[in-house]
Amino acid sequence: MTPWTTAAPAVLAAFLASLVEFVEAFTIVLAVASVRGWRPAISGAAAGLALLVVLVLVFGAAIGNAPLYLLQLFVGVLLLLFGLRWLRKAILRAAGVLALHDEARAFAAEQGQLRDEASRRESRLDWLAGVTAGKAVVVEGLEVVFIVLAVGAGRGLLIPASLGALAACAIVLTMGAILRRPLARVPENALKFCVGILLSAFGVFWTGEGLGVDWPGADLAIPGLILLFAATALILVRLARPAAVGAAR
Amino acid sequence: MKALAGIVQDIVGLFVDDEGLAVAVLAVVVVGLVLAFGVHAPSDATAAVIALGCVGALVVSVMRGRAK
Repeated sequence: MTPWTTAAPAVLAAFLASLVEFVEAFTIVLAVASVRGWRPAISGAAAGLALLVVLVLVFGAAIGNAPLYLLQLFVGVLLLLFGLRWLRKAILRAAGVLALHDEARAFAAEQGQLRDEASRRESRLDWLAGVTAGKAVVVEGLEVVFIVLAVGAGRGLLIPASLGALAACAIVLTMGAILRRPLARVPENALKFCVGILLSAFGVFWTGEGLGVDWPGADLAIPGLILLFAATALILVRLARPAAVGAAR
Repeated sequence: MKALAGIVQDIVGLFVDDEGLAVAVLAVVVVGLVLAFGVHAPSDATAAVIALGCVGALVVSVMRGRAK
């Protein structure tokens, strides 16, 4: 049985990352619906979802046949690239170097872009709106699929990680159906900071497993790596903060 | 076709944002591979190189991002 020290961070990472991705996809689908109606938005999203299912079936079969150490190394390296990229951006945002991600602004930008297209080529707009919604679902959904596979595949945690992602999807869809506006109050920047730490820690762990490392404390190394990245990230936020921001606080 | 190209570009962008960070991470993994399978270094040494190498890559990338 997988210990909670591995299972809990895996499920948490899948849940939090999926929450962020579903919120971003929902914002774009909602922007499409607000400009062009629900029909192209829903058909585009459904087409994107179908493409995702095909990709999961194809890559799921390939993953099932791969030797475990190769899978751990491959997934570990991808997780490192993915997680450290998230963490870097989150640190720079928390330090005030990059602008914070704002779902309301993303919604307005997407609406503006679609309206511009509408004024140029009205006849193709339903198609364009559908493609926009579908692309959002594919790109954000791929991130969810990757994270669930990456944190779940190496230790037989696919089902718990998938349940974490499904719970996030249910929450976003329910909140979205009730509010019918962008979920701007979800603390995306803080979530991305946490997810970046979790994914980077998993990336180091899986890469090490793929290289045959006997981690001190076995699975207990994961919380240790989480602490290492969390401490580094918090110190970096202070170090990277521009002088003016630091003085104002 | 344009949409497909956009999706491929977005997928690459999921893993590579700061090229320097991506190259540094891959370099750390290559050193880890050499240590583990080339010179058969102790497991703890490989673990330390991967963990601290990735932390170092992050520190350099963030500080470079701050300077931009």
